Amino acid sequence: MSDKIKIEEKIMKSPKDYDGYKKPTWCPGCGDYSILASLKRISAKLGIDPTQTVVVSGIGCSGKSYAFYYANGVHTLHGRVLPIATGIKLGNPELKVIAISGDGDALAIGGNHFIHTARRNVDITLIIMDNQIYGLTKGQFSPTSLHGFVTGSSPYGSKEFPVDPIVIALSAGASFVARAFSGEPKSLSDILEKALKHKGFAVVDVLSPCVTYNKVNTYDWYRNNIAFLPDGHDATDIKKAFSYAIDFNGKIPLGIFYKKERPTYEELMLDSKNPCREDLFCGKERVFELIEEYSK
Amino acid sequence: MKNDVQVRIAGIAGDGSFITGEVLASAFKKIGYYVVTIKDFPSNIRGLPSNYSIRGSLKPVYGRKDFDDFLIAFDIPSIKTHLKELDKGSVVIFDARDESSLTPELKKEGVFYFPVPLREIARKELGLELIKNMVAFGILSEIFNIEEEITSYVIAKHFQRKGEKIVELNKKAVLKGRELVKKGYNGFPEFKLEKAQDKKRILAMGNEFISMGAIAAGCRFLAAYPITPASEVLEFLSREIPKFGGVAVQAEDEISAINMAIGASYAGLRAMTSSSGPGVALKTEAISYAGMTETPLVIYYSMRIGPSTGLPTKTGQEDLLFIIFAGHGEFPRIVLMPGTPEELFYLTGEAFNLADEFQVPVFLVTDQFLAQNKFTVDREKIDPQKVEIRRGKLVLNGDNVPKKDGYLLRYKIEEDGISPRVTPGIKEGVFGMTGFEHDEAGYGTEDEDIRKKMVEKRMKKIPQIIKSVPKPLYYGKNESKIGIISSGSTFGPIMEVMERFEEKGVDISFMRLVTLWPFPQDEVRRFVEDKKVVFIVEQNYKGQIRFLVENAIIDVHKNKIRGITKYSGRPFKPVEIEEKIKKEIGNE
Repeated sequence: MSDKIKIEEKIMKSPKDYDGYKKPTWCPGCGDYSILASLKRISAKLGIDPTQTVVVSGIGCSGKSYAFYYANGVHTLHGRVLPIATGIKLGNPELKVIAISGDGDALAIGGNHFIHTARRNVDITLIIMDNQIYGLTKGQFSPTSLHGFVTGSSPYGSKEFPVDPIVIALSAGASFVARAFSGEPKSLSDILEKALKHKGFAVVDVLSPCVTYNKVNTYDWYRNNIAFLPDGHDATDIKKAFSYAIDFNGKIPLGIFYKKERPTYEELMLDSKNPCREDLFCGKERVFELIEEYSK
Repeated sequence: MKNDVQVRIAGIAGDGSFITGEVLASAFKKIGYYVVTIKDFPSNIRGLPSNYSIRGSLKPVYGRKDFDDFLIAFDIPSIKTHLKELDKGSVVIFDARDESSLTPELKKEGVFYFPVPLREIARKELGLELIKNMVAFGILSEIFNIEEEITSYVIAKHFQRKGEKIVELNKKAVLKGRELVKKGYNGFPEFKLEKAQDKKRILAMGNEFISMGAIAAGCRFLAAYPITPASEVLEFLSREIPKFGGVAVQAEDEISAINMAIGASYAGLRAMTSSSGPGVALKTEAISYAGMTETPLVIYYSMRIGPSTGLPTKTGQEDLLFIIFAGHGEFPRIVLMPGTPEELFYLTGEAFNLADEFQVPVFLVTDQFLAQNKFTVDREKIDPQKVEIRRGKLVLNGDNVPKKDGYLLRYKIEEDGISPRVTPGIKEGVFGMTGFEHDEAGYGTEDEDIRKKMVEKRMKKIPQIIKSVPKPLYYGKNESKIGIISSGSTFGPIMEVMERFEEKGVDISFMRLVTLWPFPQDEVRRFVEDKKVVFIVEQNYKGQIRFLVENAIIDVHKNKIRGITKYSGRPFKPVEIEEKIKKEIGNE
């Protein structure tokens, strides 16, 4: 636990101090409330400094998060949470970057970035608010919707099969991969805490019921279909992680599948102590040398 | 004695046309000549026809000549393809192997044909047929009277990384070529080049001038996806930026690239993304986002021709209106079009300054011709110390930041419409950034009053931008009643056309648009009003600069406008512009 942070007249000591610019406007009962509450609770516990943190969220119900949590907030284009977050991290590696995305934002329109950010292992915590539906556009199937799921845009039942963000994250090289359920705040908080402490790309897929448009994957449905990974699971064992993710006796497994630190992208790419990061005039010297080379 | 020569080296990709051209270009530079290279390569790696032209001139030149003086043809199809580029007095040097295939229709009147057993010499006397191209370079060097010391120097320079043995073999090949000419083989024509002052010059590709400009300007971030004809910037900066604690990222796609650059710029770095038409088409949503979030961003746009894949390795100016209008919604932007090597360098720096000062996206626009060809510039003309670094209202610490209840007012409505550019990490508070309409703290709002004020705030920058961007440049006699308006890479051929008319006693006034947007309405209007006829020279079919010019002038002046366009993908030859002007003014 770090010292309490004082910003102007604001002292960060309780979850309430992380209340954002706006009050959340999600539907009453939305699973996202619980995720936000857990995030604030853990932030207070870890003493996260809002001024040194950026919350980057995309478009959709999850995208509104940037204004609901007290930190620098970036509300990106739909699907572009991770490229912007990567740019910020490379732009200033001292900043803590928390990305919040939905299942559509992260896995459909932003699916490509999900793979490549995992591959690079940029030090970003990605929380996927996964409700298996497009809520803000009033109910269309999403990439995590179940086969046969009936929505406005799948009136005959979705003919697609759902994607599993855990399997993608594992195969793409994310160094922390976990799943939680917003109806299980204790384990959710525990997982978020570990994800936020992890150095590297941490993916937390949070099952978060949409009470307004998803009448199939309800709180009760999730409670009947989830199961926790065994206590003794060795999170450094990627084979086991895959095996649980692919087949867990027909249940949706919750917990930390995989966790193994490896060098982050910014560590590999950046000499962040280089004085020329600040001194933009450094380049002039080098250009004289280049001119010399091109004059030969 | 000659002082302006153009050599085309043609064959199939893999014949060594490219390296021959590079070596020849270095040799021309070394004897003190100005050089332009004209790459005409297919979008392919091996096996298809390719050719490379090198022009060397005692005077500064930035474009191709009307015709080739020499054609080195490594096969017969190359003669056939480039016959139209030859004129009376042109010389074709081809492999004696192909002599029997030189059918009458390939023999143009007044052109000299010299069969030389290039491959045979290379194979039998040098033990490597591949080296035929350096025998050809030797022949040219002797004809041009380029000293041996210089040819040896350039051979060493280009082949040193392949090892001493290869250098020596290539030098030997050059000597073989020289000997042939010395022995008067086949009676090669007299084409000695006039001696020049050996002046220090830089010979570099447009994309390299751009990259050097970015380094000198303090660019610390590039994100891009490989695309012709812009990739050299990604490669150059991947090599150079890390030395300054910055980073060049090869992103997974074009969309990611621009969004990463926006993220890095938000964090306070000077950031750029680079691409060409197909890539920028994908980036347009993010261009609007940069417009809405007022994030400074330099977009280097190297045009190729379309639509769609078009011709990726060919040149044109087909995207001008697209660049000006790309993106949904209304926001200010700046479009700069350098036309000379110096400008490629300095305008890159200026692009970063304008982006920082006005917190807008700035497009730095070239085309394949400028981007991928090499040009010479006097060394003293590129001075990194002259590159200013102006960062506008960038805020890196919190002392003077307007704040309210722990929030920093990143989008504070100021008199001049330009808010403090607060960056994240300032201890005194936090702020929002969103593509949604927002309040002064940067958080979304649908409030009608705030919406109006924010639009007005952003638009207030436009008159200031107009005052700050580079003005059009004028060449020739201002009082002339014949005008030319153009922009970008057409500069070289237009200057040569002006000279030709001047020699005949016809003065032309040329207005070159350096800033394409905001369009210099007033200057263009005044220019056209003053003329009897105005030619608009551009490399597209529809006349996009013409569209902008006609929009800037009143109806009675519109009948003065004549379009000179080219859309084949190849750069203008001076004669193509000259003929059209002649035809028009002859009618007066």
